[in-house]
Amino acid sequence: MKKKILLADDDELLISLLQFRLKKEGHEVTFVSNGKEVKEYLNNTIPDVIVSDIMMPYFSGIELVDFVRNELRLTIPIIIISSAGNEENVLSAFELGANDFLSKPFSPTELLLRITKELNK
Amino acid sequence: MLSINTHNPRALITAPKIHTDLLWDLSLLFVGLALLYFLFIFYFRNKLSAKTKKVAQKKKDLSPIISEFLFFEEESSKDEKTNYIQLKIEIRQFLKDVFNRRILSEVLLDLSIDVSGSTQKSLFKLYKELDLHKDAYAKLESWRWEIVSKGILELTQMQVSESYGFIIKRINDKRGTIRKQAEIATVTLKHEGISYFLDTTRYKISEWQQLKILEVLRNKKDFNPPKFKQWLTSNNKYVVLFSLRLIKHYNQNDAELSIIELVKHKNTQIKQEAILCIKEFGFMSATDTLKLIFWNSSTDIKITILSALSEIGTEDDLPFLHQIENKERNFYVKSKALSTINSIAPETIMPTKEIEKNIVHNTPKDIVIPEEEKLIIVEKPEENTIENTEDSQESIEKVEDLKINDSIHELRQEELAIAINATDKEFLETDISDSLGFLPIVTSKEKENTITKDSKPEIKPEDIIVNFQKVVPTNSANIQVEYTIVELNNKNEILALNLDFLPIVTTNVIPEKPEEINPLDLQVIGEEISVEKKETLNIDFLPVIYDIINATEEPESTVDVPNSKIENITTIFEEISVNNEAITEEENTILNIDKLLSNENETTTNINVEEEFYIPKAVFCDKRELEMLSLLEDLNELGDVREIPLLEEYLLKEKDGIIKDRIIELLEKFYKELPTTKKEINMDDVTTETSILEELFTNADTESKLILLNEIVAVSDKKELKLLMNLVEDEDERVREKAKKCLEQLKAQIESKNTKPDDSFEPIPLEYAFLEDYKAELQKNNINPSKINNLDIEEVSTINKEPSFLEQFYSFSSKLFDKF
Repeated sequence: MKKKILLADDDELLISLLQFRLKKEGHEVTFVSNGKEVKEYLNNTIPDVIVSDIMMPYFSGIELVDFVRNELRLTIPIIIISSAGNEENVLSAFELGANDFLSKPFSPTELLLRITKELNK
Repeated sequence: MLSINTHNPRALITAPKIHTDLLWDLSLLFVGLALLYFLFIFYFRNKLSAKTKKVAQKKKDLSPIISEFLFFEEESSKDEKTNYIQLKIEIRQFLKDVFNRRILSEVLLDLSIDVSGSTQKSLFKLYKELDLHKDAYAKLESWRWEIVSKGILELTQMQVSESYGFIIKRINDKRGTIRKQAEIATVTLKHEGISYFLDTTRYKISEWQQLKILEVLRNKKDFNPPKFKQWLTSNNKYVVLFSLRLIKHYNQNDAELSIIELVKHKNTQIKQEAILCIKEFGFMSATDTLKLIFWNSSTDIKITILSALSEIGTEDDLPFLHQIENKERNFYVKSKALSTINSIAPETIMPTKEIEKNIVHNTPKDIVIPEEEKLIIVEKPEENTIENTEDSQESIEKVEDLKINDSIHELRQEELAIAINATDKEFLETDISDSLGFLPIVTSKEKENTITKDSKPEIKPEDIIVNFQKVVPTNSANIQVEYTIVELNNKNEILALNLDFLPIVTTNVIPEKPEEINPLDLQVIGEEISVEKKETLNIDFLPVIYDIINATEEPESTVDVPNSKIENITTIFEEISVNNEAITEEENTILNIDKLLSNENETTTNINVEEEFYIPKAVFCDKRELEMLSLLEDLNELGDVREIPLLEEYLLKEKDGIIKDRIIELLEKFYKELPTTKKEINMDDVTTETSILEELFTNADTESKLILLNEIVAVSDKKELKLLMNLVEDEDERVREKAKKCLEQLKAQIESKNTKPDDSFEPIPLEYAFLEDYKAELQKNNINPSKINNLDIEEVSTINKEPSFLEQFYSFSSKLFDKF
C-alpha cells in the first residue's frame, strides 16, 4: 500500500539511499534537508510517517517532534535517527512523543521494517 | 603662576629627510601588492567554491547509481538486470576520470559510516569491484604522511583485508600518525592483528590509542582474545601495561604469579595496573608482596594497595594496617588504612570525633540508671575505639593500652575456657561474648579514688596476675559470675596505675544479678516546673493578654508532683489595661490603627482617635502655581549655581507662600554649591588626610629624608602635618630634629593663613562671572541678597590663590632638582 513518508536529514547521500530503498517498496517519499523545509512541508501536507534525523540545521529532530505533537496536534508516527552516543536526546524525543528510534549506522532494511511496523499499528 | 616646562625644547631624534618621489614609489608598490593579494584571494576562493559545487553535484548524480548497485537483487526482473549491467558499464566509463574515482570513493566512505548490515556489505563489495582500493594502495606509497594515513584509513574503513600485509609494515613507522593508523588497521582487519601488534610494536602506545584499540576489539564480532599474559614479559613497558589492561578486561586470571611479580615493577603505571588486577581477581597470595612494596611506594600506589587489601586482606593483615595507621603521615593513606581495617573487620574503628563520652554525668539525678548500665556506657567507647588523633605519641600510648586490653581480654578468655565445665562449654562457645556483654567494670571504690587518669606508668601485661574463677551460667538470663581481685606483682605501683583498661574486678563480691529492667517499666518521675510570673515567664511576645499561672512555690523544685495534679493548674487570662503614657506614640501607632478600625478603644486606652489621626484636607493648586512648582522641580534637578539670579528674582516677585518656600530651599541648595575659601582648618580633619609625600618618605633613606624635609615646609599644607608628626618619632635623630622644626614652621604657616584675612582673590572664572553682574544689579536696586527673605546667606568667594596640589608637587620636584 502506497504511503507518504517524509524523510528529514541534512545528509543528502543517506537520504538519497533511503529514498531509493523506500521507493522500491512502493512508498511515496519526500525528503527535506533542514528544519525550515520540514515546517513548510508539514504546514501543507500531512505524511503517514516521518523519519527524521535528530541533528538538523534550523530545527532539530526534537523540535520537530514537539512541533508535530504540540502545535500541529498530529499523531502520525515519528521515527528518529540519531548518531551513536546521542541517547539522551533520543530520550527527550521519546518524552515528547517520538514512536521509535534508530541509531547510526543502521540498515535501510531495518528502517523499512520499522516504518512498516508503525504504519500497521 | 609658575611657568612649568614639561618637555625638553630640543628634540633628541630628528626625522630623516626622504625624497618625496621615493615615498610615492613606495606607496604605489604597496598598493600594487595589496591589489595582487586581493586578486589571489578572489581567484582561489572562486576556484574552491566552484570545486565544492562540482563535487556536490557529482555526489548527487552518483547517489542514485550507488543506490541501484547497493539494492540490486539477483532475483530482480530482466529489465532491472539489464539496467544494472548498463549502469555498470556507465560507471566504469565514469571512473576513468581520477577526479570521479575520488568522488566515488568519498561517497562510499561516507555511506559506510551511516549504514550497516547487508547494505554495508554490498558497499564494501562495490568498492572492491570498482577497484577503488587500488587507489588506496597507491596512497600508501606516497611520501606525504597525511596521504598515507588517508590510504590506511580508507582500506580499514572499507574492510579490505587484503591490505593487511601492506599495512602491518607500518606499525613501527617513525611518523606517529601513520603508525597509529596502522595499529588500528592491523587490529581491525584481522583477528590475529592484536597479537601481531603486541608482538612487534616498539613505540609507546598512548592511553588514547589503547582506548581506541580496545574499542575496536570490543566491536569485533566472533573475536577470540589471545592469552594476553604472554606479553607480560615484553620489553616494551607499554605493551606490558596494555596487556595488563586487556587481561583485566577479558578476565584472564591465569597469570597470577606474573601479575604479582609485576607489582614490583619500576614503572608506577604497571605497578598500579598489576595491583588493580590483583584486586579484580582476588589473588590472596599477593598480600605479602603488597605489604613488602608498600612502604617504598608513592601515595597513589599506597592507596591502591590498601584498596586491594580491603578486598583480599584477612584479619592477619590487621597488625600491618594498624602499623600504617600509626606510622603513616599522609592523611589520605591513613584514612584509607582505617577504612581498610573496617572493611576487613567491620566496626573495628569506631567514630571518635566529637563523640560525648561522659553521657552518664548529664543524666538527671532523679532518673535512676542501674549501675550496670551506667558502667557499660562509660566503658564501651574506651574499650572498643582507637582515638584517631593527630598526636602520634598519644596514639601510640593508646595503642599500647589497647594491646594490654587485648592481652587481658585474651587471657580472660583462655582462663574462662579452661575453667568452664565441659557441659557448659557448648553454651559459652556459642555466644560467650554476647552473654557476658552485660557485665560492667566494677572496681573497689577506694582504689578508684586513688587512680588518676594523668598518671600512666608503664605496665606490662606479664606483671598482672588475673585470677578468674569459674563462671557457672545457669541460664542465659541469669548468669552468676565470681570475681577476684586483680593482684599486681609490683604493689608499690598500685596507686599510680591507670586501671581504666581493667576488666571486671571486685573485692570478692559476688554481685547479685540485678533485676532485669525493662525500659518500658522504668518509672519516669515527672517533674513539675513551677514558673514564677515575674522571673522566668517571658511575655514579650504577648500583645495584649498574658497568663497568670497559679503555681505554688515549692522549697525544692525536684519534689515529685503527680501527673494528675497538672490538671489542677488553672490558667487565668486577664486583660491588660494599657497605660497610654508608658507607650510612645510611635510604638502605639499600630495598636491605635487596630483600635481605630475596631472602635474598641474607649474604655481601655482613653485615646481620642480623632485627635491622634488628623487627616489633612487636600490642597489644590491653581494652574500658575502648578507650573511654577513644576519649573522649580526642573531647576532642582537640572540647575546649578547659575540659577541663583533667576531664583532670587522669582523670590522677590512671588507672593505664594508654598512657592516662596520652595525657592528658598533651592537657593539654599545652590548657595551651598558655591566654592568658598573661608573654611576654617580643623586640626582633627587635617590629621586624617594623607600626604602624597608619605610614600616618598617611606621609601627614602635618611639623607633623602633630610633633603626632602629641607623643602617640605615650602610646599606643604595641612596634609603634611600628619607626616611630620610621624617623622618626629623617626629612628634617626637628625630626621627627628629636622621634622620637629618643620612641624613648628608648618603649624605657624597654617595658623597665619587662618588668621590672615583672605582678600587676595584671583579673577573670577567665567562660569561665576554672572554673580558679579548680579551683585551690581542688586546694589543698583538697593537690595541686599543676604537679607532676601531673611535668609542668612554668606558672601561667597571664588577661587583660592593658593597653588593647587599638582602645582605644588611640580614646583617641589623642580626645587629638588635645582637643589641637586
